[in-house]
Amino acid sequence: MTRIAAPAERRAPWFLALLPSLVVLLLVFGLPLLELVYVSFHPTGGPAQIGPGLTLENYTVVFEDRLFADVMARTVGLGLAVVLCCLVVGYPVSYLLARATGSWRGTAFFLVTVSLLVSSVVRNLGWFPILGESGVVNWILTSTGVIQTPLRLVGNIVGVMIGLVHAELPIMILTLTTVIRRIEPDLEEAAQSLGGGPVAVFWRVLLPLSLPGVISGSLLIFTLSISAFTTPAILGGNRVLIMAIYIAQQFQIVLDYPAGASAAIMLLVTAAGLTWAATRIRARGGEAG
Amino acid sequence: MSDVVFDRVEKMFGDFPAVRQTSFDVAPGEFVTLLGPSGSGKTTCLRMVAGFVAPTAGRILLGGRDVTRMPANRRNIGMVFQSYALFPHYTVAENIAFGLKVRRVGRAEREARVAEALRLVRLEAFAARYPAQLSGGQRQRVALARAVVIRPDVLLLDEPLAALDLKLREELQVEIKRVQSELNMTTLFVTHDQGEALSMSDRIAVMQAGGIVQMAAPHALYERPNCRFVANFLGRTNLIEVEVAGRLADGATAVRAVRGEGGWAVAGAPDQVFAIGERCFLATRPEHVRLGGSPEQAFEGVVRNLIYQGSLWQVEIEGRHGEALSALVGAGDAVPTRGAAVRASWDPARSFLLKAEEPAM
Repeated sequence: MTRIAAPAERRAPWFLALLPSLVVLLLVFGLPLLELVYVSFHPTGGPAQIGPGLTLENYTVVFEDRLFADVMARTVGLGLAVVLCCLVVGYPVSYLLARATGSWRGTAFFLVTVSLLVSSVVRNLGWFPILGESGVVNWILTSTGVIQTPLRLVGNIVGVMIGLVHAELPIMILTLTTVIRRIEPDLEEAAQSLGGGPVAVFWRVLLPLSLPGVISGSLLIFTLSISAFTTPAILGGNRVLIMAIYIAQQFQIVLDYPAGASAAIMLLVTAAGLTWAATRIRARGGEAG
Repeated sequence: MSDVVFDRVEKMFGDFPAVRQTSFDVAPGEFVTLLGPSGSGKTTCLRMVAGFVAPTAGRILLGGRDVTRMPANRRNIGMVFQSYALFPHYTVAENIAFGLKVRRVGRAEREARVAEALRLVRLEAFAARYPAQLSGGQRQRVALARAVVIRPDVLLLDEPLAALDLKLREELQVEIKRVQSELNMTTLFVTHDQGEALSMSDRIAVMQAGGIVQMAAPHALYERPNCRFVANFLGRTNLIEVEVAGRLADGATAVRAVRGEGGWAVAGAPDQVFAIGERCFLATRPEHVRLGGSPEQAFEGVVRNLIYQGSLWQVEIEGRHGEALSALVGAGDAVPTRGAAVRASWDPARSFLLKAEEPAM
């Protein structure tokens, strides 16, 4: 026994390999986060100042301030809308990818994931020539006579939604494809042979069996959407007031640090909770599959 | 009128002919088996009947309706898959109810029919279980119940026993046959296992390279194969290369070995005409070959190998010119030793002739 155990004793503990990155993360991430928590429980002491004494006021404001409640509602609504769009657009694509065979599959996967490799600033700015007032979409719609005056597709919540769906769709597709691929094609054929049309096959077989992927993908995308900053900032033109923009304004314009800190903490807790839930659901779906 | 008509059906996968112009039919209540090695096109034929594969040419009729272009879900078929294909998120009862639910059968009738189907496969006690909680044999019985509960025009079985071990396979063979005849269900069965085909079928279509080589009742197929492929795919057959020497007074044909000096009378009724001097094959089953016998109907050789099969010994005999003959000897009978010189013979009525060329397809 001792002879077998000996080499393991001499080996350095595994967590030593993680130590350098842990130190860096603690310094640049953990400490500022703690400070944020600390600030969020203090009253404001004027512009860019923190007042004395402890208070819960920065958190109870959620229930009192009408503006803040609007920001919260807008953020959640945006998150839900993006999730819904990603599901509706992403599910059919994921299904085709999951059932694709041969060389076609590699190409399709590349096309789906390539936009993840582009910097989010570039990806967002790329939408302007397409969605702008004299952009491609408006040009097609006006020149074919579908509409008379150009639609506003950027600088508002529509633009933010388009940008977020575009950015997060690959994540939804990758999540769904993994789950759908685990569903035996025989099950679909069995359902068809029993008289199930495409609608019945989807609602009674495909969807229930891919539900773990649908839920975990939705939670991930909801989390990413409510905490997104770059896309709302660029495509919303700072006019779409959602949580991330609100927080940035509290810190940079209003200079009410405690208000910004408490909002950031609330967003962080929500996002972390949902991510944890998504991971749990995915793990359970993995066991079942 | 036939329940299934397969009319000059063809299927190309690119340049590869998976099924060459093939026709057959299945009568109401009949159990027909498509038997062949893998790649012979039998599964493609079944999947075309089911509607999962569209034929390149030809027509498929189910119960008199032309279904060639009809999607699978409107064909009213019941299918059992090799992989069972049970819905893992539904209980046994919910699995069986699936076809009734999509047909919008009322709740009371649905429950009665599900209970009846469960009784049919003797799984009443398992209605609330999930497929993962069942054994392989039980899963396949659920799949069978799910397929027949919708009262399909035809029951399609795609190698349903291939994933089971030997003992279960034999049990389920009996079970499927019992259910099929109790319901008088028109059935098309695909297998590569000749034992299953022989014991379950009313008729067997032997397939090779995308075409049907011979279609007949099991005993007819076994006793009168029309070519060497069928003769050796269903059981084993001794084939000795011979030349037709003449006709005998009793109507039998005299042949002599191409190699060596053996000569035999062949009295098995010929399907085909063999001319004097034609080269062909004398065929006889190992179980009809006995050791000893008269010198004028003899195959002389040396025992090369003895294979013990429990109730029988398989004796492999090699003639002086390398020709091989296999005989089955009862375990209680005198068994020769390896290397011994033996004489084997057979009843001329238990042998027949096969053409040298295989039928063109």
